[in-house]
Amino acid sequence: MRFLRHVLTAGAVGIFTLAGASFAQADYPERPITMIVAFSPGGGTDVAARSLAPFIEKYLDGSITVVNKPGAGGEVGFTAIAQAEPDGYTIGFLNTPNLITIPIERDTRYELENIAPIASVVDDPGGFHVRSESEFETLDELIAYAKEHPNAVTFGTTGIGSDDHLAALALQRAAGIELTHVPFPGASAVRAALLGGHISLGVFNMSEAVSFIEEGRVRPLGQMAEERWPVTPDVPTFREQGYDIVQGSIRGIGAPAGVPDEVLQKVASAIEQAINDPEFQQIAADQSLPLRFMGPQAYSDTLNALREGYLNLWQESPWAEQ
Amino acid sequence: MQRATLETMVALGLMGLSVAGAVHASGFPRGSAYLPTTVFVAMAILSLVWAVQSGIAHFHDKDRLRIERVEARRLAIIAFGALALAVAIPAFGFFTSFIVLVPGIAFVLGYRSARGLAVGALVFVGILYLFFVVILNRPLPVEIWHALLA
Amino acid sequence: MVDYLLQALPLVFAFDVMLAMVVGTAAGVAIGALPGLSTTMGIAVLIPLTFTMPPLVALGLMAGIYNGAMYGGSIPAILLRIPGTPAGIATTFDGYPMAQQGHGVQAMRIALVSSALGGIVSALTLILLAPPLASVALLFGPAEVFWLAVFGLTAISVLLAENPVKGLLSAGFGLIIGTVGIDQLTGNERFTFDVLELTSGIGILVLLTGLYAIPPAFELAAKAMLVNPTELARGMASKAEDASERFAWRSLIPTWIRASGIGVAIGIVPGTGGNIASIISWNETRRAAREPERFGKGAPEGVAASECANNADNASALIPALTLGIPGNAVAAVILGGLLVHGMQPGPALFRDTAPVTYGFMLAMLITAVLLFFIGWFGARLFIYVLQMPPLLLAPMIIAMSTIGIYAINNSMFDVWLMLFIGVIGFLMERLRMPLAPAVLAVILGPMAEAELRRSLLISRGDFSFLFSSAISLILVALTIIMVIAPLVRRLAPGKPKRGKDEHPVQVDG
Repeated sequence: MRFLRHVLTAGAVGIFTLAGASFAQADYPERPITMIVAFSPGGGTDVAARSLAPFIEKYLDGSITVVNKPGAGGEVGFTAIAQAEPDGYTIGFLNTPNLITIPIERDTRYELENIAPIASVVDDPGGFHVRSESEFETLDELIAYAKEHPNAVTFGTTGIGSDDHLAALALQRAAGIELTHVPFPGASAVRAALLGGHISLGVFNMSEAVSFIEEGRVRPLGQMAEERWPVTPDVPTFREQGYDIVQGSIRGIGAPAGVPDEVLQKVASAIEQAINDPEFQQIAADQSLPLRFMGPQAYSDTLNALREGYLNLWQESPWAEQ
Repeated sequence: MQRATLETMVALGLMGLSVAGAVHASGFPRGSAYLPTTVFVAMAILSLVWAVQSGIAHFHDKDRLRIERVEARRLAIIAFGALALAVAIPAFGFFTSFIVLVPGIAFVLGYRSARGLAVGALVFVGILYLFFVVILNRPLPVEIWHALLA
Repeated sequence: MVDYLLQALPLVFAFDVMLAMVVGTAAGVAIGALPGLSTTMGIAVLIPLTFTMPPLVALGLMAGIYNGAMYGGSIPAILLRIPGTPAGIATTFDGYPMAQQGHGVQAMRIALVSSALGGIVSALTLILLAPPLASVALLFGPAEVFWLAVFGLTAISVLLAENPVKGLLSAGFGLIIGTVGIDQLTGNERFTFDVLELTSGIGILVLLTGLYAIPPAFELAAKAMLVNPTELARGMASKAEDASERFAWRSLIPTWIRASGIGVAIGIVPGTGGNIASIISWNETRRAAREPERFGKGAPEGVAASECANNADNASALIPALTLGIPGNAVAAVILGGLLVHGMQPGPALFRDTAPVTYGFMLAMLITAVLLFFIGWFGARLFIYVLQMPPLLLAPMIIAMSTIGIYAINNSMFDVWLMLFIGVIGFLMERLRMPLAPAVLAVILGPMAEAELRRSLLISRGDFSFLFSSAISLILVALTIIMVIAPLVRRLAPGKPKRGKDEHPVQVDG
């Protein structure tokens, strides 16, 4: 009798433990999730993250705390993501190309392999812009002028190794021209310099140019996307103009490598639902965010492909001095 | 020790550092090197001038450095206190460390009013808690008792 | 525009918005008054909290914090020589000596009125002149900003105090600290020694708190008393007499006009901030004064110039931000982020589609500046009680507060250690009688000058004449030269006998 009781107790304990374990998985998240943003509060990534977080919370049925860890072009934040506990309670925003190019430029404390991409949110193509008073009406005119006057055209970007810089390098190689690069601390500084006539050409993302294009102060010469962004349908892509350059800033969410797959899937689907939420779509439209969702596999493939490309570019023409 | 002697030593030390700095900075790639190298070279020259000035002052300015025992002791206490805070915070959390160390340091420094210590510590920690956790909701290292209980 | 303003008025005077403005101003004064806490962080952290609030309530809060903090920094700057915000550093030059001479309360009154007036002028400029002034902002390219930074750096020459060699060494120290990190222009790392946290440089707040808050805390502990207890006590006891003491407020009017102008102008230039405005304003006021020797020793005009300018910079920094999306300083950048979160895009749309809210925000900047008169004074009185705390208890509190404030900015213990290390250096510098101010000025202005110079040379492809090619550049160059030559000329000019140093510099009668 006593033996039977022991067996039943053991069995009960066993069953509850198993049930508990599976419940634990099913009950993710049980405590607040930390979302690391590798840039300062108030910046583009930060605003996007804070706008998106409540929606992810809704579909994940949990709470998210955004933590800023700015520095070194994002390296501090990315390192924090890579080195966090892979228990699914720390995720973070990933920005390309920084995520990929920084380890190529210098020794870093993380590698792309240490990060598990979950989903992409924003795909912001780069663009070449001149001010409306400029003599250049089309990209071809700019290139023709640059051919005759090497290094005469000054272009501003958001920094050495930024997606803008890499795009400009790619164009220079493709078109066989030489331009003078002037790095600035951020897109708004480039815009200011462009509008003030201090530089001839501004290279920055379409989302940062949109309101000025609509106002007629900035003339876009081309956008570096695969297809024209619906918000700026009149701007031809670089591909259409004969230059196969697709460059932009992809922002997505990732976690440290080693997080269980089911957690990744759960978060990815919450993100997908969040992005498709009509309220969020409205907010994204207000902020001119070009949304593009990719699941963990697609995102990971894209990142690896980008890395291939950047590694090749670095071999041929490294964009920073070593 | 005379003040002038101390200054001469510091100036010479600074000169050495500046020279080292200038050499290190000149190794930076082109454009990045200009400013730091120039500044370090200037600082090397300036520290030399300072060393000479205080060297000369050594002979006519007999101002001796005096620090009272009691003052030096308190200085050491506050310095160690700051160190203790920096070590304790990540280990025990801000508020736990504060509530122990702030009155603790004050006590060791010589402030003995029990009521003052208690009220001061509580109000101080209370206000900071209100500000940083309740209002601003900043992520802070986990308090030790939080971690032990959870 | 007038009808937009009229539409905005009832919105702004709604109860929840008014409450937000009052709370914001009070919180701002607190944030400004507590060393180690930064305005940028305060506002940035609020942004997510404001998601669920109607936009104008959120903006009212931000406006309050912005104006409040700029004033708040002056309180400890005057009473303890610890600037609560970087912009308060110029207030320490004259504010603290005034406190030491027993005129602390008067200095705080001056700071309050100056801040409020500066904020009012700035807000009015924002409301009435935003679009035309925005185009002025665009005229400032790399060359112009370079000269602006150089102009600001000339202020260092005044702060050299006893031994110019030491002052210049201090400035050099600041310049080197400013270069730590990744060089914007080439991507190279300078002085980072493979430490990840150093790659983004040593923040101004870490430096400022380290140099200005930690050494006084150490001294408080060592000396077990406030530096000038009898003077301060006398000053506070004589509060009543101060009120009846007729202070010549009118004598400050030219200072206020000049300071507001400088503050508004510098605010508009993108990338510059209240820190610079207060320094340049103090320096300019000193140069234009009849007796410049009074400055740095307790001249009321010094306090007025600094505080008026740093608040005058506030709303005007929003001019390029709201019209062009180009923030005039770090706080404006964060506020822009806050606007975006509420779906408001900078540009003409802001003044058209969401006009009532936008004008409401501008009105909030104006109203919170006025609110300063009342709320600011409460904050100041509270702080005075802080001074009555036993110094041995106050010292560890200052250190503790600095640690949590600095930590909260980037969630980094490294910053805390760095701040303490700099604190030790600052303490040694003080004991060696090396002035601290040149280091801080150099950290703020040095990197700006270097980056803009190199950027200018990139644009001109090495042609130095580019630096002299625009009207604004030439004006700034001329001002710089005047600033450097004026003291020499003065010394050589015959006539006025020099005032003795011990003569009481504060003029109390009309």
